[in-house]
Amino acid sequence: MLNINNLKVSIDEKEILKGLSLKINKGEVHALMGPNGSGKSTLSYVLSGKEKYQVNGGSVDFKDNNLLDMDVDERANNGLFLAFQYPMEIPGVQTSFFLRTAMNAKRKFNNKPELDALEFAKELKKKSQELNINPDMLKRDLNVNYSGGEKKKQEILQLSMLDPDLAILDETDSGLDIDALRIVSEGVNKARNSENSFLVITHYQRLLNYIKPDFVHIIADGRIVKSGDYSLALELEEQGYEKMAQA
Amino acid sequence: MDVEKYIQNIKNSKLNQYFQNNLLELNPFRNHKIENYKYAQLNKIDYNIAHKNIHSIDLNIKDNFHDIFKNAKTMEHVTLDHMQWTFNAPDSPIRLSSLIKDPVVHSFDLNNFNEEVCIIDLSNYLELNFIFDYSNNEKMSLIIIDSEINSNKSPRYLKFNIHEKANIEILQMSYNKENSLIFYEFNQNDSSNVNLTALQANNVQLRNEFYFNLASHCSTKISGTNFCNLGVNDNYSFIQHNKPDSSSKEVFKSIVDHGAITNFQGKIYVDKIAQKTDGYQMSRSLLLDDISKSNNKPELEIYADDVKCSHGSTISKIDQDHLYYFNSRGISSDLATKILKKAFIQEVLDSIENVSLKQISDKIVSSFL
Repeated sequence: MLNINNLKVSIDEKEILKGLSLKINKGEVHALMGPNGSGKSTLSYVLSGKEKYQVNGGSVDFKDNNLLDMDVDERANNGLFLAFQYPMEIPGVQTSFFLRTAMNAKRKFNNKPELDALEFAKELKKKSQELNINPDMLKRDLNVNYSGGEKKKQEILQLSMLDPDLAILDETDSGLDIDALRIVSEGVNKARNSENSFLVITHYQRLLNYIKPDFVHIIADGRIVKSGDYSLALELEEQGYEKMAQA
Repeated sequence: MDVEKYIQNIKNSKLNQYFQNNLLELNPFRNHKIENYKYAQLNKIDYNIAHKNIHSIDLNIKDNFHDIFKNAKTMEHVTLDHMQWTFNAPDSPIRLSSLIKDPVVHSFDLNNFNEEVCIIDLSNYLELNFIFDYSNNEKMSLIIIDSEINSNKSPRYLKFNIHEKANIEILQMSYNKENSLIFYEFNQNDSSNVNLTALQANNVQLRNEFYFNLASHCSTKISGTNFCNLGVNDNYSFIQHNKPDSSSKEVFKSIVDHGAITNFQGKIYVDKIAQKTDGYQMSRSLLLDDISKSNNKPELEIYADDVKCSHGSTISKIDQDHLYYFNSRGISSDLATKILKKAFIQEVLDSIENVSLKQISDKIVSSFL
């Protein structure tokens, strides 16, 4: 699915990723854990194609295509999804309209006819109920005056509606209370299947209690320093980043 | 004093001569000596290119409504009453001159019309001056269209007398115009409500001036937007709070591209007896390229000491982070820009209350954006 090989990235001439390699196969869930400033968010932005990140070396293949050659919207339509740590507020654009436009963009890209209004409404109702989202929220402007928890739920709603092949969750657990964390995690688990993959970026092991990863990686100073299974996350919780990164 | 003599006196006055020569004949758009026209300079516009690019879009709006003004009463001469100017704006003699130039006034009694929506297409009239009276407290909706290419280029003057407790909603649309200068004057009596929405698109040279004269307990709402223009789009407003307890709210949004210039200049004036005035003004511009320009100038002139007045002004580009968010969901930059442009002016469209007026506005917006 995703093959990152020796990726080097800088922003404003400052090197953030210093030769990061990671391989994610179909159906796998990988967790990426690391301290502040280790390059977690940079990795997610580079994969999604955000401007201003300078790739200095290495390669990224996504479904056997060169991901770095694609535009941001091309990557999304090819099946990459990034759930943002801080989702953008867009005044004047209704949430449900945004969702429908995004879904139709993907369908158009795949030469499928546009979703009709009724079909979309049905799907939206079902998926938003699963995430315990108030229908009124979908009529409001996108993320405007949403609480932290609502914003994250909205990201996961987009994820489940767009049904990507690879979803990157960038600190989706930050700012969530315990109930919201559970609901959001359940939403992610429902979206999981043998055909898609997840990269879950987090500081804390708690999220991984809900979303059980197949692999856990520790990132420090722009490189993956240790990889293992779920037990690595538990070890990390006990010993802290500093010790683990040195080991 | 009789009217003829009064007109003659004004015509002969030196001040009037000055304005006739310097503003009307030489084109007020090109004169920057008066503060209110400071930004309305057109020297930098290549008119030949701009005129070629103007495209006529037939929106069939007129077919949807009856032209109910066919049988309106026309007065051949203005009366002294019509020569009374309630504004001391420095350029009011221009308006006066336009009236004198063609001293015929169309007078409409809006109370006689029972339709849900009344429509007036200015291009149907050769006359330049219009006076509307409305006194009903049931809300009426009026559409004013200023749209034909190459139609009358002389300044027009539209005066509204809104009587006590009367309630009116107006949609003003200017599109496909090469050249247009219109003065709107609203005289609001006690407890009257006016909700004015202005939509301006695909124009080369346009200036609208909105003068509001408020008595007590009045409410005035002005929402304006302009987009897809080719030359200079210029809006000036002067809201005069003369008596206590009135509120005015003005929002103006411009989307500027292709080297066009948009100007907004708005003044809220509060007389010393107009206590408890609530005034709000916001102008925002969205610049889509590096060659376009926007000049926004809010002005407050307050002589009362117990009022609430605020104003704000912003000029910005499309937020790259917004665009990135759209892109990251598979929406192309072109489509995202289109959606963000519509989102930018949504607040103005939302201020329209009547459903038919809303539909027409949507039609205009989707034709151009």
